[in-house]
Amino acid sequence: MKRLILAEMVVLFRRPTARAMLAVSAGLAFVVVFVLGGLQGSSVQFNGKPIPEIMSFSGPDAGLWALQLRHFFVMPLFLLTLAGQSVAGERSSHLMREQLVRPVSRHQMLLAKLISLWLFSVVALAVGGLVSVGLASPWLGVEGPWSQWMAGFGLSVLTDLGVLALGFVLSSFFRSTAGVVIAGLMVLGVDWGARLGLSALGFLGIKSAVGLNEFMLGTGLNLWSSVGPDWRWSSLVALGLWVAAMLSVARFRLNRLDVP
Amino acid sequence: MASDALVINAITRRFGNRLALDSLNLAVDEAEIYGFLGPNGAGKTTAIRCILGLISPDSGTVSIFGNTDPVSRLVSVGAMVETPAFHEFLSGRDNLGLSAAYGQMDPSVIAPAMERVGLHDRADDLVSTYSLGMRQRLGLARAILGDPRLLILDEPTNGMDPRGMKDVRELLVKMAAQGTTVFISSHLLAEVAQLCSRVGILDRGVLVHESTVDAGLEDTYLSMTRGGIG
Repeated sequence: MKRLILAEMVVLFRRPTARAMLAVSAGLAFVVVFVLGGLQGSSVQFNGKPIPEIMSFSGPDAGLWALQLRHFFVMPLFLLTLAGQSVAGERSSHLMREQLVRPVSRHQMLLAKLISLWLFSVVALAVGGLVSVGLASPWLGVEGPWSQWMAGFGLSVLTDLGVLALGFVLSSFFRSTAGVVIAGLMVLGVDWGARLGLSALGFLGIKSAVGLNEFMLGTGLNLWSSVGPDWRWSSLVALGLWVAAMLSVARFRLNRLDVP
Repeated sequence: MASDALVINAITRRFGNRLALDSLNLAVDEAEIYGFLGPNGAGKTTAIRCILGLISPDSGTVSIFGNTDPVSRLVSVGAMVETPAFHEFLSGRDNLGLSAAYGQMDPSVIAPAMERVGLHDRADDLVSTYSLGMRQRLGLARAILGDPRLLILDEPTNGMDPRGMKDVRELLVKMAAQGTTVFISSHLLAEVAQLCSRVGILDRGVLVHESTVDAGLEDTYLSMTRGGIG
């Protein structure tokens, strides 16, 4: 299994989409640091107050903003694309066939692809984290919410796993990378809408809506941002359940699919 | 039978209402070159995909050197199915490296395989720069990685020039002489006649004829298969 994962990592590091993901991870972090650096000394006002008074500026703050930007649309898009390319794309382009004519079970193949993609997402996360905190700390200062950033950074690893699991399960239903990406974004969009609706119902006093909201896919995927006083273990449990369910369905379907 | 490298026992496979394979029985002896003939759409590739576990037959079994497990029976098998597929952004060597990893083979098997198909001087070039014939050679190199005991080839000389076709024939004859069993699917009668010791003719999912290769192969083929035009 170790050799399979390493071989899949070699493929990933050469894949143009994966290289773009690394570049964008670093690029987003650069943008955040330079925007924060610009705002720190600016006289721009928001609601009548200068921005430096309502925002804090430091290395970990930049790291948190970089994480925020990372998880908003850009990285889910890359992760869904890579999952789609690795499974649905390789199946339709006959690359999966070339792997399965070897004495490897589909389960092993799926696991090797998932673990390599997950490790790659950790590398991309680390690149973004190092660039944002490494550049911002000497410039904006080191006093800041380090524990919050580290927890968010660590939990982002689980969020990425959740997005990859979504990509894998969709790859067992769709034949193209585009199909996986579009369906993935639709699932996330519908989930967001449903959570908004449940929140509204919760605001109106319907308690079961609040409970249900905690177990939605998006709540689990937002785990990384829920560190602090709002932390709920139920979000972690929800993400774990969603990942287990999605990967089980992906495995079940891929074991039965014809490989062209 | 202990001497059988490949045994297909009554495999049937349907795609919707279409019967692609109808209770196909076939046995290939060790170290022989077996030609699997048939017109386009006869079910040759479907049979090969069943042998390799890429699709499951609706009924029947496949045994390779006595092993019927769909995964472990592929341990001593090398295969090339239709047009070989590669990661375009990897070199020929890296594509073979991926396949070697999936086959649990040592990377040292890559260089000799590249050498045998005459691609050693282009091994580090990206596959996207390869011609169709070179891709076919690379597919063959991937199939012969680690000297498999059974080689399954589906139209291996597609897109090759006459020189390449001759090289492939010579390579396969040499491998068979060294004990490798070769199962080759083709619709090129001349190629099969030059290469194979025995042939099976498939038509509409049914094995309609099986014999040793003789001078009357073309007549037999034409009388046993049904034309699709006119």
